[in-house]
Amino acid sequence: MTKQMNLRLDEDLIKELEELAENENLDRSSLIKKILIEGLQKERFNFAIKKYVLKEISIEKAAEIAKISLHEFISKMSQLGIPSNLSLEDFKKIM
Amino acid sequence: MNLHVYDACALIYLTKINVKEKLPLLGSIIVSPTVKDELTADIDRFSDAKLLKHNLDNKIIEERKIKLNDVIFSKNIGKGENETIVICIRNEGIPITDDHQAINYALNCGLKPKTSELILLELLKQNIISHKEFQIFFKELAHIKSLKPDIVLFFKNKAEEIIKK
Repeated sequence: MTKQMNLRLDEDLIKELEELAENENLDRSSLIKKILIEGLQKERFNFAIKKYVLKEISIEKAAEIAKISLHEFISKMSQLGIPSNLSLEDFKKIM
Repeated sequence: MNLHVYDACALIYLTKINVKEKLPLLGSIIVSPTVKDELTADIDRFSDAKLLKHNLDNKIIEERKIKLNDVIFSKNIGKGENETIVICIRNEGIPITDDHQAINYALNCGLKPKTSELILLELLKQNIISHKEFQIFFKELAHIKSLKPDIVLFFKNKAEEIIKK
């Protein structure tokens, strides 16, 4: 099910969107939808990483928030060089 | 025999560094139903998921069903991590997790959690792997997890202490 959503954009941004839509052979609406989906995925991932790095949530919870599999979350973290949220103090506590 | 209950991240890391085949020598490998689903998710994109599914199909990794009606979950950790801890409480198991929140929750529940780094040390202690192998596996693990230098040095020293004994 889809719903209509109205939003006001700057003229320059609309022009830029129209140019890109033409280059990509897409209509304006499809391009905006594509950008929105990709942007949302990125935002969700960044938010999840932030919470994980701050040790507010676990890695599994972070993957859940990012709406990606744990395999993908771990792979992305590794690619970006984001360190595990375990500290030396954590290890000392369990040894 | 030790009952090692793994959460998904620890088992994924240990699979990535190719040490998973040695884990049964330390104890049985148990996972919860949610962890099982996490391990085999995205199977078409990740070869680790295929390997883990193969191990689950061959019962090298055993799924332990649990009822969670009366369990109060920690909101900061995922369902799989919660289930892992519940299985350990009910079966005197050892939770294996590589997460700060999950470790602290396990400690609060009176459990003695281990991480994949500690599993590598255990393999070395029990002569299942050599010091050289430890160094290779640990280097790979440190790379994948982007471990901080103080942690790398800590485990390097711990390994050296073990081989001196």
